[in-house]
Amino acid sequence: MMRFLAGRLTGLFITLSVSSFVVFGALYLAPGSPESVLLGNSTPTPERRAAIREQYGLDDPFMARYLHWLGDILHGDLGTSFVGNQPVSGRIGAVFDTTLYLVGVTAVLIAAIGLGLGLLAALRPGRIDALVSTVTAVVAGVPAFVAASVGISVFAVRLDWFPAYGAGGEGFLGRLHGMVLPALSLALIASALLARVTRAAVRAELDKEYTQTARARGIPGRLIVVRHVLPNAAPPIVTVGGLLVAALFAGTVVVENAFGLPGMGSLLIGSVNQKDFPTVQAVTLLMVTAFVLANLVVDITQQLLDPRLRQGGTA
Amino acid sequence: MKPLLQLDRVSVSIPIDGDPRRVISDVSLDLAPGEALGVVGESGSGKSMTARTVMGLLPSGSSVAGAVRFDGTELYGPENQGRAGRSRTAAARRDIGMVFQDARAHLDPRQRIGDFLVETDRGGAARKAAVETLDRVGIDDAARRMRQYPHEMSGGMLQRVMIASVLLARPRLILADEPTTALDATTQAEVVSLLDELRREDGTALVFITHDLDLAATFCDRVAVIYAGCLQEVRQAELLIRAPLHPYTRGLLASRPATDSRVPRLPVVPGRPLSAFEAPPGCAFAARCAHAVDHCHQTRPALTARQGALVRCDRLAAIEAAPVPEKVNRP
Amino acid sequence: MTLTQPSLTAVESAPSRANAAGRRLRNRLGATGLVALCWIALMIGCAALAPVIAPHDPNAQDLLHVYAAPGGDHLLGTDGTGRDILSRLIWGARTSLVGPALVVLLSLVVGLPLALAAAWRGGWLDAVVGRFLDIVFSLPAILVAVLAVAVFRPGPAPAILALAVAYLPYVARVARSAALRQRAMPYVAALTVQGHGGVAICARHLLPNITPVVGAQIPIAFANALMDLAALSFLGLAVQSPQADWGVLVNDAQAVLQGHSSQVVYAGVLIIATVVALMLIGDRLGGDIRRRRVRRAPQPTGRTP
Repeated sequence: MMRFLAGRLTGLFITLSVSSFVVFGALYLAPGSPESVLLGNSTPTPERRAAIREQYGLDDPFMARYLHWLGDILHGDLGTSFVGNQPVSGRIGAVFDTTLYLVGVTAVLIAAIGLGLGLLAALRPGRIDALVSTVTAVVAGVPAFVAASVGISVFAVRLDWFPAYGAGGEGFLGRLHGMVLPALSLALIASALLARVTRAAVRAELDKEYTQTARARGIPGRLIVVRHVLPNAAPPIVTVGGLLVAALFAGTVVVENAFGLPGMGSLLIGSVNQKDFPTVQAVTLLMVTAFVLANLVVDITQQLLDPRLRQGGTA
Repeated sequence: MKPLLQLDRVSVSIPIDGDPRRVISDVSLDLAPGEALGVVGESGSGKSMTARTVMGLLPSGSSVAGAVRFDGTELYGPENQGRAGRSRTAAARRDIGMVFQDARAHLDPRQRIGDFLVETDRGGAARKAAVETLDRVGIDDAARRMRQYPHEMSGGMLQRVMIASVLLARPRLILADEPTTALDATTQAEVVSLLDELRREDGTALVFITHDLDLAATFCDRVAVIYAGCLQEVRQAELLIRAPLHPYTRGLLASRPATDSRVPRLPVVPGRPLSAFEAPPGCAFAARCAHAVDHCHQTRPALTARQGALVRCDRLAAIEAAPVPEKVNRP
Repeated sequence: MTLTQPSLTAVESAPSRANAAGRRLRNRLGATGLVALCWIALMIGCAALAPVIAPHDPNAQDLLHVYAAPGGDHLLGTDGTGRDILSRLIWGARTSLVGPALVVLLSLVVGLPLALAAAWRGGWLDAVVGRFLDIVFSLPAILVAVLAVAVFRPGPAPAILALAVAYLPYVARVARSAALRQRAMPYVAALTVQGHGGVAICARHLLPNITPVVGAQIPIAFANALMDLAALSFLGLAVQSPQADWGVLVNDAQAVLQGHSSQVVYAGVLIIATVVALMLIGDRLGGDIRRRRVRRAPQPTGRTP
């Protein structure tokens, strides 16, 4: 277990180092100098230009700037935005909870719909299984932005059940109301994929010989499923479910923009359009970190779930 | 004496690739309380399906014709439909225990041995009884073993655990489906003698399913030889080994390796074993039988009583002269 | 068994070989798979023949007939500036299909040689390639594309390039493990002993043998690239607005809020149908490979008495 953890943490470290280097380096190479973004259309005096280059450290060598930037980030300083000269951490802080809320609600939806449909299909062979399998095959091809646009036109404009735009009302329930359509749009593909994985995993376990033992010992079918089949089917479901939830952070980019939710995804696209490089760098790095960390959590959970792996066995 | 288990003209079809295929045809067997019956056949002969039929472990979509009675309770009649019927059947089956072929595959890999043993009886004394039974099946340090997972134990050990779990339920009938095939040779002998010894102590009846005719004859009172889902010969174990009647039984006996003589090459039963649904209309064994004549290919012989045995062969009189290879029972 | 295949087919005449290939394809895809294949063919046909079959100029505005109902001159009606929706959907097939095709093609052109080289040489090269693929795999494709757009400019070219990089691992990982399996087979050792060079063996034997495995991956990668690119166009980061593209057509918030959502629905349905069809084909091809591998597994390896 310790060796496993050490290996994974090394991998995490390498991945994050390389990603941060890529994120920083890519924007360093971007055509057009950063100060022209800061100065807008005004033609500055050479002194003013020099002052700005000084303030943002634009004349330092590349590696020095990268290490400086990385050091600041590790200390919690995400840099200064080109927009309004405010700290990036403040801009992210203002929208972070919206994204977290969206990811949270979506994750709950994915778990409920994906596991529910998957179990239904696995435990009810025949017509219900065929129906669920067809539905999930189609839903797996519905991109979030299509679901968002159609959802807005039907449930927000035609039926007026949910707000078409913005973060919804006040309080937990008000926010939840505003999150229903975005979270559903974001959850569709992931739910369908999780349902298919769940069905396959549960089916595979139902075919295992130990269920015969349990049946022969007179254990009721419902208990066999709950006590034996589900725990054994859990590993692939947890892995895929975790990966799908981890990928949600990137998925919020599309959905937040479709619904005009003030979250990290909207901030990212807005900053791209405004050429606000420090914000783009910070948001991208945060999203990659969230994705990588979520993957690590999945791996560790996996280890804890399996008695064979937990005890360091080779089976 | 009233039979404990009674199969009366039982035929079973299971779905294979979507089509119902017959795997057992017209099998009738009686088993007295405390009796041990060996069921011997090649793979695909339907011997395992017989046990599964009794235990109610057939795949969904299977159909059973004829009567299966355990202790007078019909297990497949119309009265077993519905919730009440099913619980009645389940209650009857509570007195039947089953030992499977591959114990490792038949145990939940995430369940500790102790939890497995007490799963069906959670009373306060259950753990104590489980430890005692582990002791009885020859597992050392039983209290520690209770906390282990299947992957920490050997195959032979796991089969003992499986036997312990069956004994704990105090069944009146044990179905053992090739309980030793997955084990190595020395462990095989230990496990079978253990099973036999313990069931004698408890007076439990046994159906011992195997492809090993000698093994069955050593531990069982009677042996039933099954081919293509059909009983071919049922007889007292000792007689069957000494003077087999059916050509198939003779073939099986001739093809086993001898311990006392050197045979340059083992004779094999020619051809390939058939399943019931592949069997031609006549005698199922005709295609592989050296004594078969046209009659054998056209009419299926009936199971008839002869010399204290039940045999399904119409050519016995003609075969009588055929030599049977000399054999000595394996210890 | 892999070596003897060519000699069997070589004696057949060309047309019967084509028939056999068609039959094999039909067997592998099944009825629904064939329907899916026909749909993809239809979409490719629309894209290729757009100038011929589109009834109108996709960009011709007609401010007198905005939001026209379907029927008459405009089979699917018109949008907010009077452009013919059907024509825009047909023309939209071009960017919507060419973009993902380029993504897949680029990642194949780079990924396959990379995977083959890693599998063939092994050692540090394999370790480095493996680690590199792991890292790229842990970067969400959309984020890579957004970053690329931030560096260069919004437009199809940066988005396609970035997605091609992000999709590298999907192709290369599968290709690498398949190539490793092939490399371990006795026929490769035999060829090496006969003095064939590594590049020749890779190109002539490994590549053809991993093609079925990688091939099943292609429709899936295509479907995902289509969704990602359309999403980027929807965000205004890839294909730009006046140009007809399915992703762009879905992003018509103005019309949606005014209750004219037909264009959004049509474009959405096209995207969904194409993606589902592609995934179905990939699923069937992949499932076929899995089935064959399972069937082959239990056979004992050539033991002679």
